[in-house]
Parts: sequence; structure tokens; C-alpha cells
Amino acid sequence: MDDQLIIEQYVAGKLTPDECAAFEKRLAQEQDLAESLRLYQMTQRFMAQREPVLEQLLDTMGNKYFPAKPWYTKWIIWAFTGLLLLAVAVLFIIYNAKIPAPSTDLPTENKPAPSELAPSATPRLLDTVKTPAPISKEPEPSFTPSTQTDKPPIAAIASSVYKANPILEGLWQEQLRNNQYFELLNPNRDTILITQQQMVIQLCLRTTFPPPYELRVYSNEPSDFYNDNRSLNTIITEAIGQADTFIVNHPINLPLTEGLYYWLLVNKAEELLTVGKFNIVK
Amino acid sequence: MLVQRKYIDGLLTHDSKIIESIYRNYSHRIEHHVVRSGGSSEDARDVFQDALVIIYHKAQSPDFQLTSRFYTFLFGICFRLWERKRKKKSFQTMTIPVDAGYISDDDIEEKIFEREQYKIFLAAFEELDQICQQILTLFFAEKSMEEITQQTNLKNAHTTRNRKYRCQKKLEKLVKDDIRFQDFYK
Repeated sequence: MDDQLIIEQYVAGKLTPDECAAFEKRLAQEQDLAESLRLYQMTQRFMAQREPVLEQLLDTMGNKYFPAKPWYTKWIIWAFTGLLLLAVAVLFIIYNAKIPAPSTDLPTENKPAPSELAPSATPRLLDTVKTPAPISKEPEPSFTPSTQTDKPPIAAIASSVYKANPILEGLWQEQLRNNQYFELLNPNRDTILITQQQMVIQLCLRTTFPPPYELRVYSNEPSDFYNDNRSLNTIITEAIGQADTFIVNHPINLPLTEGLYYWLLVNKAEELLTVGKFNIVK
Repeated sequence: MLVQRKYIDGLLTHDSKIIESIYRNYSHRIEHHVVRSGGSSEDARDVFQDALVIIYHKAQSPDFQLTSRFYTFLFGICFRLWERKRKKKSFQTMTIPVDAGYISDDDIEEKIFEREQYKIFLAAFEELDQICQQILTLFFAEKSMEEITQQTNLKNAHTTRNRKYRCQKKLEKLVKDDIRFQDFYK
């Protein structure tokens, strides 16, 4: 009797007890035989489970209620999603290009009541400085340093080129990019002044805050700005204009040594209106 | 509950109207779940069909009782089927006991396993030629070799037996070569 026939008879329960015992003994020893028996039993179970009529019916219903989508459906969805994202990105870029971010606290109708100008306004100003813009690598002219107080000469901070004050430089750069609130006539970005020369601050401010304004001049040394150690401080009381536009035309003497300086114009509410910089040579 | 029971009876009697009402009422809900969790409509269709066959086999048991709404029962099975399918798609291997008997205290899990095994065999069976399919169908329907010979127009019972042997071995080879089967028993 061949093995296949024995398997069939074993599964059908047609072997005698002796034949059955002998077969089971072989099963324990012969892996191939055990595998054949297992596959035969699985085939038998499969054949018993077959329901061709039901399967056919379910296939028909499946075709009707889960219609096959064309292979390119997924690609269309991906392409559409990609285009949508691209459109959003383009709109975002256009939107950002049209509406520049405010650079500093500019006065509005709802600003707090003006207070007296306090000499210790720097902490308030520092609050307005969030993230400095990248510092321009524009080299400053090389000047011969000299002392103003007991501090080392300003130019000595950098060996040959004045170092920019990162915070004020950032503000200045940001203002250059976003200057719809003022028009600076003098000093312009390339202004170089002679020491003891008179400088005329000329600018047109679009602000609802009338004068007085305070002009603060800081050296390029960061600690001077942090410690509110001003190189010059003056109040500008007069400006031409009204409502929301004021033109400042204010001459100031510059009793300053050579170096790089930043000037800040602040209103009575301690808000930064504009920032600029200039160089002084002998 | 009578309304719910009618779906079971419809499956058992292959009532096309009731089966269609099952598809009409519930297919989109299952499809929504499958598609939302990363599957396709085709996956949903397979899961839905497998679940109905599993319910059919369970309902054949004399002690079967529907203890919940039909949709709850259907969804539970679809959910488990889809979870298994999804795990396989993400190349997570599952450990199944080598014994084909697959003992589990959860009857549904066992039925799901049987259904997966059934589909492997069905794919292999459909690759066989018509005469092989006919011989094996008749043989496992406990027809004698003489009856099979007569119905298949083969020469004699001896030829039929040889042919049946070859068909069965071919089926077994196709099954063993199926990667899904290898996944089950590796």
C-alpha cells in the first residue's frame, strides 16, 4: 500500500488498530510523511470549506459596491496634493513679500500715555529687540582710534575695522528692509563725519507721535548699549508737520572721537522710531 | 434583533437580495475605515468579503448566537482582518503555531486564520487545470474512483487514481511555493 493511500485511510479512520499504531510510529520518525499528512488534512479542510456559489455571489457584490479604481487614481491624488501645496507655498511667499513684518514698536492710536523721557530707557528698548537680522559684513573704514573717556579707544576693539554692534546693526538692517514708516535724508548710510563737525539729522517720520523725540547715540561697543552708556543724548523738541507726518531737521554737534556710532530716535513713550549709524573721522 | 438575524439567514441561504442589502448598508462604512487607515478600496473589498464568509462559517455552527448588532459583529471581524493584513503589508511577521490545527481561545482569530489558509489553497486550486479541479472536488466529496472515472471520462479507475495523485501533489507544491504559506509556517 503506498503512503498516499495509507494517509487517506488513516484520515478516513479505515486503518486497523495495528496499522494505525504502525503508521503513527512512522509519523513520529518520518518528517516527510508527517508533512504529507498535514497537507492532505489542509487540502481536505479547504475542499470542505469551498462555497463556490456564495463566493461567486460575494464577488459580484464586491464588484458592484467596491468598484475598481483606475491605477492612476492614486497618482492623480498625489499630483493634486502636490499642486495644492505648491500653490499654498507660492501664496505664502507672495503674502510675505507684500506685508513686511514690523521692525520696531511704532506708535499707534492706542499706545500708552506718553511719559516723561527717562534717561534709563534702554531696558525698554532692549525689549523691542527680538532677533537681530544678519549682520552685514560691509567693512567700515579704518580709522585711527583715540580715547573718549578712560575706556580704551573704540577702534581698538577691532584691530583694523570697527566691529558692528550686533543688536543695533540688526535693527538698522531690518529698518533698511522695512522703511515705509520713515524717510531718512541725513545722515545716510555712507555718511562719514569729521570729529567736532555739526551733523544735521534730517528725516521724515510717519508717526502719530509728535515731538519731543530723544536722540541717543551709542558707540559700536555692545556693552555701551546694554548699559545705556550713551555717547550723546539730545532732545529734539521741534519738528515740522502734523497728524501723522513730522519732518525733523535738527542740527547736533558731535563732540565724539573717531569711530562707528549708532543713533536711535525714541519717542516719549520709550518706543524706537528709527535707527541709523555714521562714522566719525578726524 | 430579528432584523439583524435576517442578515445571518440571508448569508446561510445565499439570498442575493439580503446579501446585497448588507453590501448596500455597510460596505461604505468599512471602506471608509480601511481607506482612512492607509488601505485601498480593494483591501476593503477583500476584508468585507472575507468577513462575510467567516460569519457564514460561524453561523453554520448550531450553537451560534448573534449577541450584538450585525454591523457590530461584522465590523469587529473586518477590523481584525484589516489589522492582520496591514501588519503583513508593513512587513511585520506573525508567529503562527506550526500545527495546522491552530489552537486559539478566540474563535474569530481561528476563523480568520482558516480563511487566510483557505485563500492560499484557493489560489493554488485555481491554477490547476479543469480536470484536476474536477477530480479533486469529486474525490473530497467522497465519490468513489469509479464515479469519478465516469464523470471525468477517464480510461479507468487506476488511471483516475494516478491522475488524482498527480493533481494533489501539484496542488500541494503550489501551496508550499506560495510565499504567504511560507510566512505562515516559517
